[in-house]
Amino acid sequence: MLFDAATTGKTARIEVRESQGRYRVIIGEKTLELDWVRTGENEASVLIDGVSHDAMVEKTPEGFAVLLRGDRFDVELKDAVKGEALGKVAHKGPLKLTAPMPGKIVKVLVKEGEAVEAGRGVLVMEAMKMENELKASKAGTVQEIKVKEGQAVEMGALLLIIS
Amino acid sequence: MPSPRKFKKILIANRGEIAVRVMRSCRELGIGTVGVYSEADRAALHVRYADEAYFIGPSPSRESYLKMDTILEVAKRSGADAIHPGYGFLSENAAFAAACKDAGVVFIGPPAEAITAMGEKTAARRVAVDAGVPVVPGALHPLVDNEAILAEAKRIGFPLMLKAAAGGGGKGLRLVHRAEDLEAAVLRARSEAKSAFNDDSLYIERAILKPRHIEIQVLADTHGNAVHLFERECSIQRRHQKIIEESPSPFVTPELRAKMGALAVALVKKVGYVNAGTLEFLVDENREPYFLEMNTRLQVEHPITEMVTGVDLVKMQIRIAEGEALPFTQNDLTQRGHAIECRVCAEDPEANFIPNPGRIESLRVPGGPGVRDDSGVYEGFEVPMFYDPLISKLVVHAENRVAAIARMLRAVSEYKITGIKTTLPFFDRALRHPKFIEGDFDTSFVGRLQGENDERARATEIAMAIAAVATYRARRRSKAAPEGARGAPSMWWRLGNREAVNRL
Repeated sequence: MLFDAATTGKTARIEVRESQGRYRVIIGEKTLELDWVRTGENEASVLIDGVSHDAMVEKTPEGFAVLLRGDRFDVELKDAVKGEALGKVAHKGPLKLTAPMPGKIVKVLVKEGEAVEAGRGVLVMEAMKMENELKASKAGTVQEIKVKEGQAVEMGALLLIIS
Repeated sequence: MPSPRKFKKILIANRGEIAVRVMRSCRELGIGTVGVYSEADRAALHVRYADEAYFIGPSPSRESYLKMDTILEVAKRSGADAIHPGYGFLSENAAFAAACKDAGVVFIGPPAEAITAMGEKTAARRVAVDAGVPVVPGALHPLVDNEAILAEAKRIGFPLMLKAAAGGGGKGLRLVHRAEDLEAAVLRARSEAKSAFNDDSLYIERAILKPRHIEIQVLADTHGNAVHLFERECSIQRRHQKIIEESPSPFVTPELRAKMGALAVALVKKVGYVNAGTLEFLVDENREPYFLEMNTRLQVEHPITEMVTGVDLVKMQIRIAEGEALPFTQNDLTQRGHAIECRVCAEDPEANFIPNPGRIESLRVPGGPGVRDDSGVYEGFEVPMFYDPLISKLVVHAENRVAAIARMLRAVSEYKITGIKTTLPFFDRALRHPKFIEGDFDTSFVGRLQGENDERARATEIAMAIAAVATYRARRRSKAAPEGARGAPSMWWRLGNREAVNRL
């Protein structure tokens, strides 16, 4: 199987082949041999050339998060042939975006009725003297915008609904 | 066995990790615990842990955890002898301390008068000046005309900082290094302040360059005894809030330690302070301490002091509130080894540490020698959006600083949380940073920290490979599902299929 993978500052074409219970992964010039044993619901023990990687993998709105040795890598994955995005937790029901901290709405980046992709920035909020872009964690249509630019909001306030 | 203690039952007027932390000491002392919870916290760990738990209102804290009457009502109903306020919420509220007293229930903390005297910054600074404790030289009132500002500047000395009295957002803030630059700087700061806040009065104080944020823990009993439990280094901050703390501070010399400790004890005695408290100092490049403010409560980062001194601060708070005298003197106290705390928060370190509440899908907690995890969550718990994003405090203790850093990195590598983003990856980078290892950092460390290196680039590739193989395996499994079942899927098939898609 062929994938296109992307993470912060890096993209790669990845090929995965299976042979005798092992996985051969070709990333650019490199070939990695993965010995994979599932150790839990979303955990695996992965040996690569004798090096042990105790991994946790979860699906996120953008793709996958891989946890290795205290670090976290967010990986976006696409089927290289069909081009469709993989992973991505499907959000059940409408998404209610709420204020993660008290602050002020600086900018509304979408309109009601507009179609949005998962990961698209929908609002800019100022909190603790910093501007933060709030993103849609699922694709859908902006059903309702509950706030106006310049409005102060409390922590947990409902900002926007994506159906 | 009935408890021989004066307190039989304590109400903990807080939530999350600190409520659990306080209950743990109560349980060790044989004291019953009463928890309180808001709508969002029905299934929180502190409710599960408590001997009794009572509902106090809707999720926003002002309708629940800040409701004095409701909490006192629960204290009465449950027959609690005392209330431990934790930190935040009602912990530094003099009116609440007074209300407890009126209701005949002991507030585990200082008397209301001490909270009032030390709780407000400018009032506390005046008290400190009276007690001979140095404060950042500056005017305690806003200044409105140029003459007054220039006169004060001469008294205070350089470098100095001009701040818009109506302040905020860095507007009207100006650092002045030399006397000859002052007049022009004052004019600019005033015009900026005028246009930003329509108020051009300024505060003026000595600028502390490369400031260290160092605090001293104190304990005082009702018999007039007071001791300090040395310092905590709290210079690593994000959003002006601490995120990594350690004790001892790599910056503090034995002389500075003795000096700050003596100042802290003098101030505590001067105001008749009782129970646990913390004096925050800014320390400049020349190791001169300036008193900043006092926190009249237990601090978030109290465990590092517990690790190096061997004193359980929560138990001491309870014993002091019961009227016991301190069981040790200053000479009995020593610092043993080195402790570090990392605050594991539901925040995205890649996006300005913005809070990232949600459900904890999986949780693996570190263990082994010298590791302590003061947590308020469990696997499957939904971190509510209404409160502080702190979910756990990871604390390590080792024989010296080098060993403690290595131990913390080891513990961070074992700690795995999915479902929400946390500050854990940030600690992995921060603790490897040469400046942190050398102990050469100030309060701007987080802002200057940058990630990427060769080792991480290599790990990135492996992470990509693992994500690809996980997807490959999931697709193989869903293809293996029986074709015929698709027409009329049985529940078993659907379950099996869902698992095939979600699991590794």
